[in-house]
Amino acid sequence: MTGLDRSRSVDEATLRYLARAFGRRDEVRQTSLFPSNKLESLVVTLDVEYYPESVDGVSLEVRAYTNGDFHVSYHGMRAGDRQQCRWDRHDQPHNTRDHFHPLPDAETTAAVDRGYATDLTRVIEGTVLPWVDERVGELWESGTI
Amino acid sequence: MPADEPGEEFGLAEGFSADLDAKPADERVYRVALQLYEPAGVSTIAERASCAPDTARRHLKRLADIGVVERVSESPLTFARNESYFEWRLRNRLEALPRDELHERLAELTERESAFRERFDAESPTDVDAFDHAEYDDVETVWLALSEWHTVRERIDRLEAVRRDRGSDSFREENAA
Repeated sequence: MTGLDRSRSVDEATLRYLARAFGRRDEVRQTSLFPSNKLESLVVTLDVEYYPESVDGVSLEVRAYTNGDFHVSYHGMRAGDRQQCRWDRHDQPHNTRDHFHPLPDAETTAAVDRGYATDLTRVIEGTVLPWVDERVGELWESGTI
Repeated sequence: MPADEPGEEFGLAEGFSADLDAKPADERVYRVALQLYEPAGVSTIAERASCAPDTARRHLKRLADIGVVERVSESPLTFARNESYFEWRLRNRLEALPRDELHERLAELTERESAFRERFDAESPTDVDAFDHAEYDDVETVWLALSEWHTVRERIDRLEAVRRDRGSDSFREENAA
């Protein structure tokens, strides 16, 4: 890639676009762009009415940057137990630029290499949300978060 | 509608995808334009936007006229996101804010910045070695915090610039009067 040597700044335009796209869905209770405790994030709170009663909260956090980096994390809380995983695109010493930090706590050492679609909107559409959908099914079927 | 049983009605991926696909071609090209962090040719962009190359070319030319994208090369014709346009838009948004709101935001960010300085015992995020503050397991959490600190500084700089410009404007107005 030739690249334009872009620096890593928050890509507000793409996050605003995503906020509108999420805001149109019934499964989304609220979208919040740059809340005071998450300065770089679009926080998407899902409607727990779709989940078993023991699920207290599910949210997605999306960060996007002008050099193409992104972090999309899933946070689930069930009976006070927090779990999270994260889809990442950024250079670091432990994995390929595209990688995934699995449940239960998105540890760095547990990360696995991945290859995602070019556009973050497609990564969310084709990788993150199908995973979230599947997770809903798993939660109904099993007692785990 | 909410479910009482295994979440059959929960179809976030499908709905989200249908929404994106249902957008008119100009918006689909705009969506891809936002994400042209690397230069790309017309046919690649057309593929990413699910439209014909001619359609993509037409919309890209319009977006280039507005300034959303810039032509990186002529032959082959490639485009990339024009960062200065988006920076200009962010400043515009801030310029529209009332003076009090501007001050309030600046005060809030300055407070966040000193909290970061205290937490990492450093003057700037570039002075911090994440490994000094984390076990390897959660070093990325520290990187994300440092990234936020960097963003706080960028927002402060942008707000300061807008405030300075506004200050000189009112100074000019006074002089003109």
